[in-house]
Amino acid sequence: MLKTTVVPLNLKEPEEKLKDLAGFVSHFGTKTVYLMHVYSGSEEEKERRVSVLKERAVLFRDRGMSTETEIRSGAIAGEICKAASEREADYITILWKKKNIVRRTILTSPDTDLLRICSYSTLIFKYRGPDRIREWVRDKDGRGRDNYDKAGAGSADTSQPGTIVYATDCKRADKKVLPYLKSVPFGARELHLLHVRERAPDPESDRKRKEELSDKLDEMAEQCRSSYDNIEKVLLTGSVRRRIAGETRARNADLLVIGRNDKVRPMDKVLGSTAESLPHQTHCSVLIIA
Amino acid sequence: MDKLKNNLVFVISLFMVLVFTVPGVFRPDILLDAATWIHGQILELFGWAYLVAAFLFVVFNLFLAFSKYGKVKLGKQHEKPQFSYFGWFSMLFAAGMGIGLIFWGVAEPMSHFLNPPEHINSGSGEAARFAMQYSFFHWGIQPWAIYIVMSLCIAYFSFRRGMPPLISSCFYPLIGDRIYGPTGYLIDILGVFATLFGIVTSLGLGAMQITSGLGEVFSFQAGYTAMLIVIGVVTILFMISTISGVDKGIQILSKTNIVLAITLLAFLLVVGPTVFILNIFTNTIADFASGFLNMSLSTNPFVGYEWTQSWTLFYWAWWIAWAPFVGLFVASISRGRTISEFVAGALIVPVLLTFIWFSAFGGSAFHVEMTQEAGIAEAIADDVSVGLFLLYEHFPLTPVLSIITILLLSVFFITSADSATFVMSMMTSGGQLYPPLWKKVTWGLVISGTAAVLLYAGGLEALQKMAITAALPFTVIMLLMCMSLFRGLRYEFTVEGGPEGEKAKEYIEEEIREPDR
Repeated sequence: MLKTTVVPLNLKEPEEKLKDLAGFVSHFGTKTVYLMHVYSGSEEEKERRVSVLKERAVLFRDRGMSTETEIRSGAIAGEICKAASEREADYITILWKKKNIVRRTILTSPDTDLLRICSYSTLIFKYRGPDRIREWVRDKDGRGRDNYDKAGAGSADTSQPGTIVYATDCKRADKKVLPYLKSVPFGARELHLLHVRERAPDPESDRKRKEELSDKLDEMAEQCRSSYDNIEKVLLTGSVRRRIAGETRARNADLLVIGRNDKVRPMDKVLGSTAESLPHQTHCSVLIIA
Repeated sequence: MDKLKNNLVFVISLFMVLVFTVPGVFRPDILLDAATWIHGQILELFGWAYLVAAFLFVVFNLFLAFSKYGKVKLGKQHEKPQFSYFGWFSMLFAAGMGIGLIFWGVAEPMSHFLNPPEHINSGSGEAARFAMQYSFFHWGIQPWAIYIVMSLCIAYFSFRRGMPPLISSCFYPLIGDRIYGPTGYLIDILGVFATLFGIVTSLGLGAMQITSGLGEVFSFQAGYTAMLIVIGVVTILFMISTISGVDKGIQILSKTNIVLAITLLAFLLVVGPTVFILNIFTNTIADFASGFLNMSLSTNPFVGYEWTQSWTLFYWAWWIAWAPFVGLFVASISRGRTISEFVAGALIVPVLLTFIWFSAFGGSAFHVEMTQEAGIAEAIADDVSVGLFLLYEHFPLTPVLSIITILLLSVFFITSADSATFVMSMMTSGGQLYPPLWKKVTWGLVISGTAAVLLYAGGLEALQKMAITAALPFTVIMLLMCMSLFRGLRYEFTVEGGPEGEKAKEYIEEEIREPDR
């Protein structure tokens, strides 16, 4: 399902980050990677960039993925979308670079533009440091969790997502996302199904709604049961963006999965949709399923 | 838990009355100084916020009325309104404006005419035009928009969502179960505080005007004893009304009120300077409509700042302070109406009646003042309560008019006190629609007793300013209520499928199962 990806690079990315990224996407079952760079300068410089891009491609080939490279000219976000369409890519992968709100607003960011204009599934990859190593442990009560051990750095694959949080809207997006959660070989041990809901206007409706949603999460968990060692259901009330970001952090998630909602509310057009804003607020990688 | 909350809110509210009334009795000067300082600081620092908030309430109401949310009923979707249009409008008018309109119908235009902002010449044609325009503005759309916000929220969350009719209930979508804790208590206690002090000052002023009217008719010096007798008689009457229940007593009295008010209005329109009144009405409607946005957001920082503070901002704070009382009462009589119907009804009919009232009474006063140099404006500058009775001296059947006015004032007095007693009993009984009789009697006696004592000691003005102080937190509370109501309605449409969705179906099923409930 996530077989082909377009990975735009600005060629300033450190090698260790790209290595980690290559490892991460390899766990998605990705077979083909199109590395692309957008540049509109001199031919000489373009030649140099082509060779740098080719060097980067090796990192992906090392992970067993077939890799092609391409340099394009034009508006960055537009060209990435065009490339994804021409290559019939399943998703676009962005190596996320955090920018503060002032820089984002004044200077804009191609990544943000891409999230706004592109209707493709998108992986926003966030590098989490070189010394992070995961060891699967179980608590006394049998609950699984990741154990991070700096001393063991380099002894295991750091790029594999150990804990996935799926922030479900318990509506249309589930139809798009659940097939991915069930069949993509993420190799994650834990799946947390998280739903953040608005509080109902009265306690009785709130209680009923809670029960309804809990049943939905149970149903969803049942569908995904075979792909994960442990599935947790989390039902919260409050601001969707804030709670999702907080909860992924609290649960030390490696990947947040969300569905892109086709129905955009008027305020979202001004402030940006949840899918657009979450990558700025979460600490972990985000997979947006379109 | 509920019993504890009921008593907690009741006891704390009673204690608050003592805390603020005792200094008003023994050292009214200190209380007045303190209240004036706080009041002045609030208007100075947050005056602009009152203007913005009141304007936002207008926008919010119009948005609700014209949006898909307008179809939502304040009650079960199939429910019919409890009161007829005439009964409903009568009660709306009596609770919302009541005594104030009688008090200020002549006095306000005359006051602006004599003391306009510094850039307008006192007593000029421009001052007269300004006076009418701002009288319409101060008693027009914004006050009702403020009341509507409060009423809509309470009616929606109580009648449609099945929660107790309390201000705190409106916050469920925002703070959830915390409405049953200290935050909820605080909101409700603040509501009782604003209502009690608002009604006490309003009734104090009403008693003064009734006594001064009686003094004019029966030629006696209106002193404290007369005021005390007036308060005593009215207390007995409103206690009888309040004991008989909201759907009987207040409705009958409110309808009587409207008939009396329309009688006076018709008399002035026919016997008074009819064409002049109609000219004023038409002209001021145009001035009001064309200047609405300008007036709504004008803080006048360059010229007329003090005037704006002492009139417009004072009024806005006053209406907001009144909102818990009027809001709760209006909500309780509006069950079964749709949001569109409620907003349109409350924004059009009472406002139009108010405009006609000001045109007739203010216009007649202007006519008398300009053609006969009656000195009404100067007299009002000394004592606001005599304005209407001085106007009557220039018309035939003066004693009859004065007696009808006294009757009208008394009935308004009774309906206001009656509804305030009911509202405060409800607020201090966990939102029971039929609060215990002993609480109604207690609050009734507290209202009259406080008004009587403060009239004697002279602490009424201080208490009025304290009530207005409550408007500041209430402005924030009301803005949050708008947000909460919007969230509730949005939830109903997005999750429950709108007015005809699951919730409505559930109600119908419930009704079939328990038709008499």
